Amino acid sequence: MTTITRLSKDLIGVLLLLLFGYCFLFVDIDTKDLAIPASLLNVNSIFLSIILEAIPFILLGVFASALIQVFVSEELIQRLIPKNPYIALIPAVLVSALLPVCECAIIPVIRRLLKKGMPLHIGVVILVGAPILNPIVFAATFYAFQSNTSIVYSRMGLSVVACILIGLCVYFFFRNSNQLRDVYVHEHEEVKVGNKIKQTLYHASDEFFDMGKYLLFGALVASLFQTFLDRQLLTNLASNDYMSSAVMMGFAYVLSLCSEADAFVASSFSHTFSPTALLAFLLYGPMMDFKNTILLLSFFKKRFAFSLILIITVIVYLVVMTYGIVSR
Amino acid sequence: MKKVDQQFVIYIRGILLIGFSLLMFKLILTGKIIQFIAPKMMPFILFSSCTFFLLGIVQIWRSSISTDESCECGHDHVEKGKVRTTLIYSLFLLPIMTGFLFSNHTLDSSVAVKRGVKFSANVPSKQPDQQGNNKVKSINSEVEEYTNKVLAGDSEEVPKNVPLEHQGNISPPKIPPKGFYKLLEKKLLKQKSINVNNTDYIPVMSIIENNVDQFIGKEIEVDGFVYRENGFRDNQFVVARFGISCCVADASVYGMLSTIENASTFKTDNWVHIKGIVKKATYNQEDVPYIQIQQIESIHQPDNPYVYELYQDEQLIGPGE
Repeated sequence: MTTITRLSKDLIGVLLLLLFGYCFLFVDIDTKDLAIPASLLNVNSIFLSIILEAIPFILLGVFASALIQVFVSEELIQRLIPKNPYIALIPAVLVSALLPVCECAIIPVIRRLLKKGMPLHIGVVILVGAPILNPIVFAATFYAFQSNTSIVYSRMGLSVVACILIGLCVYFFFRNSNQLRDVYVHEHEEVKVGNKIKQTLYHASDEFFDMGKYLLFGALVASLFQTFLDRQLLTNLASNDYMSSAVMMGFAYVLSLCSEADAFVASSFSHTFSPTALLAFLLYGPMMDFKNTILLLSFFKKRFAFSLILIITVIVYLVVMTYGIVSR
Repeated sequence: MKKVDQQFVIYIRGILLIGFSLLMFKLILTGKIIQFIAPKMMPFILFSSCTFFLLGIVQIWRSSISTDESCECGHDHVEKGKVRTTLIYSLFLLPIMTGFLFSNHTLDSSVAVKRGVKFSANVPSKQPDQQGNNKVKSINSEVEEYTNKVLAGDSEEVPKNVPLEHQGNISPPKIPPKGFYKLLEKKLLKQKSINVNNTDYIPVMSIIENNVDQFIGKEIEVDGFVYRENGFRDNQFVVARFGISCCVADASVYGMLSTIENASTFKTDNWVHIKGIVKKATYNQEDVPYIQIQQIESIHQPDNPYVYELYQDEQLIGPGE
């Protein structure tokens, strides 16, 4: 009996491999006349492109997290982070500014750092800050808004403010409780030295599949929005700054763009939306979007993940609105 | 008992990783990858393709050795329940298969309609923020004034009678990294006819759209697909391209309004090569350039229908520079 199941399982694997091999070698990628509606193909193209774009960065994040696991000790983290929880926010913001990582890559890194004993609110600051506050995003935003550089500097400045406020809020509500999902609270204590590389590779693929299933689902939903959401509708919804900022935040949420690319999309709205609304889009998108929510749920407790989304949303909105009123 | 066989899950994961790796590798080999992501992302994809292959092999090998050795962490990385597991891994199978089978598709105008065209790429001409608006306008007019003077002098050099602070005023907001736009703008202004190629499509179009007045009367040649919006007149369509900065998900539609008498003979989504004269029109209360078509011919969709934002990391990459 067991041999039969064993055999059938092996057979499934071999068949899959053969299928991939066949597709790789023989399927003509240039064929065009497939009886599939173009809209579905559009969804598929966007779906695949989100995945292909995200995979390298998730892999990099996974490897970085594996390196942290091996090389950064808990004591080191304790020593580097100031004891005072408020002062500790400053190095956290600096670290986010230095790390050139996007939102996909940062999640496994933060998960690892939190496990290593980094205070919760510090982790959250880096989680929301790193995707915006980095040189590549600065350059992209600068390039997309060449003629209106105030947007570029406001984006960077406001995100520093928002990050610190978010950190404070998280500290206020959650202190330093463990909000990681129970599945992940274990630690790999002792690994035999020769096994480290093997363990790293094992973990890289385990972690990829852990996050991958959420990524795939997020990408699928985002690509549906990308294809079917009529962007002209947004314009009709946005009657004033209060409304249009909210609309643009919602838009950023469902699009789930990479923070490196969202400035270009934002610049295509510069005719129809005020700078305040554009900033709401540029601030909120990298901090929180549909893909991120799903990824966050994969490693934070549900209650914390949803509170975090709420905190980020409220603070970004308030910061942007304050900016809008002051700059008027 | 409904427990899922861990060895089997690891085995399947290994195979899926190899599947992903093969898909990426095939896309790279056939060059189709640039229909999903911008060329600048290429090294990353190559990296993940190789890594996945390695990981896949390691996983399959791991599944063939005994359970005790495979994972020492004591918790399970795997999902519970057979149905759920099957569903989740089918989700991984989905992109691999659709990638192999349907990756030759490129976005069409139905997506463009949902996104709206960038008629003038960068400069907000009708901006609700009054202050910023005035600033930009005044700077622009200074630039125009300046360029006109240079043009009138008909030389590349700055005429000696231009006050020095003038230069100081115009440089900061107009110059993107490395001054590539300015050089290109200078070059274009000197040309009588402009042939817009695929490499510098976005910068050239942005420059024309930002300085409509100076380009009026110039001859222009450009490729693109026919795109129409509600409210277009019978003789109007846009010759459009999808511009990509990182991946297809962030594609925006670029293009120029064009007019021709028998416009209706050219169907939406068909590819055309046009030659015409740049003129100025008002669309949605904005000044936009349009092309009065003199010659038009249908062409096949180019191998790579997309155009890309010309920047990498922190700098612009100029074509052929």
